[in-house]
Amino acid sequence: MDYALELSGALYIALFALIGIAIVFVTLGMSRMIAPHNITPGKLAIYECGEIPSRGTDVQFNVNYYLFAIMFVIFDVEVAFFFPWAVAFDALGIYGVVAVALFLLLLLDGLIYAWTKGVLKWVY
Amino acid sequence: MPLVLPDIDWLTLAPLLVLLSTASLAALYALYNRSSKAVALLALLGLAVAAIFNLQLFVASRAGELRSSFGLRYLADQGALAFNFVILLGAALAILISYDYLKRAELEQPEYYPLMLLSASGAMVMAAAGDLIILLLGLEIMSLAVYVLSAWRQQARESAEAGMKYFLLGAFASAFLIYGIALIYGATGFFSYPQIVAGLLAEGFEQIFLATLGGIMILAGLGFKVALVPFHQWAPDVYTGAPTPVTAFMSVVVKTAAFAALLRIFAFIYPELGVLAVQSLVVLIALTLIVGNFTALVQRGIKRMLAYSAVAHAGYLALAVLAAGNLGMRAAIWYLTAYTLMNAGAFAVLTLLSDRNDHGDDLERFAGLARSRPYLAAAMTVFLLSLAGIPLLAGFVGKILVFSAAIEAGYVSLTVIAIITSVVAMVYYLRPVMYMYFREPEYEPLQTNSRSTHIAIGIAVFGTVLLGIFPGWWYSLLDLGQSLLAGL
Repeated sequence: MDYALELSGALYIALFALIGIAIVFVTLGMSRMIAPHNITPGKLAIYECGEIPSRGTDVQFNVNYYLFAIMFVIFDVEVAFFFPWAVAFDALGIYGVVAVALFLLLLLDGLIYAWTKGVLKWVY
Repeated sequence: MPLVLPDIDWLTLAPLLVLLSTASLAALYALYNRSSKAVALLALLGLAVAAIFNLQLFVASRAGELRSSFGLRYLADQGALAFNFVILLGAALAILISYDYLKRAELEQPEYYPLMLLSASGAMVMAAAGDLIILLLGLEIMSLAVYVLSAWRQQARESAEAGMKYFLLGAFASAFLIYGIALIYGATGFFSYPQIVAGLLAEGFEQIFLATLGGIMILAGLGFKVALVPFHQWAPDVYTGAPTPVTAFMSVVVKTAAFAALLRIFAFIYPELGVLAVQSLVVLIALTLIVGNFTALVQRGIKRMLAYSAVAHAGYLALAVLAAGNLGMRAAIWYLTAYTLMNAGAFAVLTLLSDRNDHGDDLERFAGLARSRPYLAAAMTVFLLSLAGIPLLAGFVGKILVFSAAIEAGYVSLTVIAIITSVVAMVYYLRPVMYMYFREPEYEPLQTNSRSTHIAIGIAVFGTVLLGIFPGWWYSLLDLGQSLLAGL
């Protein structure tokens, strides 16, 4: 291996990184210098699809959010496995059916458990 | 492109499937019937059925019929099956200890038992893994359940802290393990052990170096689970904070599974890695033996002392890992059988002596116990002497086997350290015995009784003495002459 060649490869990466960093500063600096500064409350407001924050981040969340997130994962992971299975259904044959049925059974077990425990009911 | 489907051998998976389905059924049953007794009995039944399937597989493997599932990814060779027995025994003892303990501590919730079964099934996956991904899966199944169990005493600070600490550091250790697996995959392009070995033999120096780094990472990840110094800091706090039966379970089942995985990886992959990987284990063992034993020496609480003793025993067991191969594997399985009996037994006695908040396990509580509760004191003496390695008890034979395996493998100076530190260990094991027999009682001893715990203690005493006096039968059964993977 030609060492000079390898070094030049590393040099390119370093140069690339430097230019990348420089571009950030240059563009931000340019916009700061060129753009006019007149701030109005309307401009500082949150963009129209965002919520207006009501308080700081150190509030306590209802634990139900957490449980809902876990329940969501059950369905989410289910779908993530079902689509590949559906695509390869013919090739997998009975093997795939059994595998997915087992998987579904285990998920259902968890769902029934959570459901009966009242996780799906929102408690205020 | 034709799909190549992995072959599933259901009989190989039977013990695992039994545990898994018992756990799910028991959890569903617990929804409608909050009786802990029924769920606990169901869990024990599940363990027994799994043990029967395992016995059938074991007998078949003795006759030379070696099974595996998913190609060579899930192995049911004699090593894995013997480990399964140890895991099932440990889980059964833990459940027996738990039943009355949970009732007394007002922690009774039937979900406890399914979690224990799930954890045991993860442990079995780890013991059977012939593939790094399967190993990781087993580790996570096992660990997640134990994280929850160690925080079972929700109201108590220590228990919550134990669960949190174990979870965070466990996640950290998993990250190490995954990084290690990724490096080995990067170096060889394979996950399953035989393919990795073949890949390593074909690779050049740079790949070997990457894989060695990966091997060290895996060692760190699994070293955390078995509490090798310096990855042991969590152990004393978690062992002390968790409910005592959970501590028994952790120190026994989790350790068995992690050592099973470590032994298999060491037998196959590590000989092909750079010497650095093996040398780092040597350093870890030396540290573990010295730090574990000397820190145990200064503990006042028996539970904490046993936690450090568990760290020290991880050091002895890791000696067998160094000698991985038929001899080391046999020695380790034997040692773990003995360790399961005596350690679970010691924790079982502890549950009867401490109050319902797990307090009062300090040495003074043991004073004069021989007079107030002679049978309990005698049982505890047997366990402690066995842990110390006194002849005619199981612990002694285990130590002999491990030490001779290590010497056979050429690690003489390390074995000398192990022997010297086990003499040091005598001091802290014999101190409670001295308190029990030669001191006047300072407290009114608790008169806690529990039939299931007594059964567990009975099994443990019987096993410890039996294995100590007749060590040969179990050892000869463990002759792992045949294995599916070459080299073991």
